[in-house]
Amino acid sequence: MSDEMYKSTIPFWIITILGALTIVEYFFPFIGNIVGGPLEMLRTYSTILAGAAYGIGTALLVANHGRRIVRRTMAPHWAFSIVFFVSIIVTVGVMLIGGQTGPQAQWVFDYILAPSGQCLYSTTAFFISTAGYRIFRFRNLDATVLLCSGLLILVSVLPLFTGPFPFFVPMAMWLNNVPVVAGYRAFVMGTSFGSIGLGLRIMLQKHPEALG
Amino acid sequence: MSLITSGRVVGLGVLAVICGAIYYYMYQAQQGNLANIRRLPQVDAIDELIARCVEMNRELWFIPGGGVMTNAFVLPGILSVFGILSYVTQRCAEFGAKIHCPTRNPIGYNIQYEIMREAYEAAGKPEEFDPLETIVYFPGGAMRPYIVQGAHSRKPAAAILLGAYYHQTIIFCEALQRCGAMTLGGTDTTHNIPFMVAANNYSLIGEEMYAMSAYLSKDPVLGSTLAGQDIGKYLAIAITILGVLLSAAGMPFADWLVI
Repeated sequence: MSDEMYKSTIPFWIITILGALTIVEYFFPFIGNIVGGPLEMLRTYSTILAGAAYGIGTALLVANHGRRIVRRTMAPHWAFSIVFFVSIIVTVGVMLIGGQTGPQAQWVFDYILAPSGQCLYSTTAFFISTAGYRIFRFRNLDATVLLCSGLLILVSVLPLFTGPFPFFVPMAMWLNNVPVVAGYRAFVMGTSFGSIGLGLRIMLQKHPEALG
Repeated sequence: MSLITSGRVVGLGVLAVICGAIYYYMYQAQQGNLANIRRLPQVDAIDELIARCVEMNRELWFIPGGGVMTNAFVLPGILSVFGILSYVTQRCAEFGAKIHCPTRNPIGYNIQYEIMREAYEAAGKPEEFDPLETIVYFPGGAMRPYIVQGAHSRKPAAAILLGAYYHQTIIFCEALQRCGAMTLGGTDTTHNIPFMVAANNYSLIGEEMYAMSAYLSKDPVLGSTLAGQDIGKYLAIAITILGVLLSAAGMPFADWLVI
C-alpha cells in the first residue's frame, strides 16, 4: 500500500463515510436503528485515541525537559525542568501507591494542582482590568461606542450609580437584550454556516490540512 | 415511526440548500467560473506580523487554543486552524522568522507537528524545524503559566491566537500585548469573540477563521465554497424578515420551523 493511500486516501474515505452516516442518522431515525450501534462504538474509539495521544504528548514533554537539562548552558531556566521531573515522578508514584482516586492522589490535586490553577485563574480579573484600561479610550468611533456601552453596563450594576440614576438599569437591559443578542445570534449563525462549509470541504476531501 | 425525525424537517431542508449551494459554486469554479471572494485584510496582517518578527529578530508565537478534538462543538475551530498554521509556518520558514507553537491539544499536537514539519520541508528548510522547540505540547493548565511567563521572558514580536478559546483568551492576549507583541486573534467560541476583538490588533470573527483556511489555500475552487456559505446567510436573513412579519401578523411562524 502506498504512503499516499495509507496517510491520506483511506483516512479521508473513513471521514467521508462516517460523516455522511452521522448526518443521515441525525435526520432519519430508521437509519439510526441500523447504523446507530456501530457508529456509537466508533465514537468511543476517539476516546482511546485521545488517551494514546496524551501518552505521546507526555513522552515528548519528558524528552523536551530532558534535553533542556542536558543542554543546560544553552537553555535558560533549565533548573525548572528538574522541578518537572520531580513533579512527574512524585505524581506517578502516588498514583501507583494509592491508585488514581486514592488519598495521596487526592492530596496532590487538592493542595498542589487546584490551588495553582485557581491562583492563575484569579488573575483573569487583573488582566481584564488592564485590558479595559488599554481598550476603553476615545481612539476612533468604534472604540468610542465600545467605551460608552461598556461604561453603561458598568454603571448599571453599581449601586452607587443605580441609586441616584435608576434609568441606567433599563438602558443597560435594553442594550443587553436587543443589540447584544442580535449580534450574538449573527455570530452563531455565521459560525454555523462556516462549520457546515468546513465540514463539507473535509467530507469532499478538499481540505487536506485536516489530516496534517 | 416518521421518516424524518420530528422537529428536524426544516433543518434538513436548510442543510440541503446550503450544501447544494456550496457544491454548486465548487462545480462552477471547476468549470472556470470562479466566484468573486473579498480579500480578508487579516491575510495581509499575517505577512505584517511575520515581517515584524524578522525585523526585530524575535519569535512569532502561534497559539492554537484549547479544546479537545473529541468534542464536536470545538472541532471545526481546531480543524480550521490547521490550514492557517501550515501557511504561517511556511511563510515564516521562507522569510527566516522563528515560529514557536505551544499547544495543549493532545491529538491536535500530532497533526500540528506534521503540518509544521511539512511546511518547513515545503519551504526548502527542513533543517530549521526543531521537533522539541518549534512545537511544544503542554498538558491541561500548564499552558496558561507558560504563555504568561514566556511572553515576558521570550518577548515574541508577534502572536497569532486562533482556535477554540475559553477564559484564557484575555489572559493570553493581554499578556502578549503587554510584552509588546502584535497580535492576531480569532475564535469561534462566541462568548469569547468580544475579548478577541477588543484585545488584539487584528481579529477574525467566528466564521472568518474557517473562511481564512479556505482563502489561504492555493486552490481557487476551495475559495469558491465560501460563496456557497453566503447563500445560507441570505436564507437566514430572508427567514428572519419573514418571521418578523408573520409573527407580527399573529401567525405561529416559530412553530412552523420545528415541524
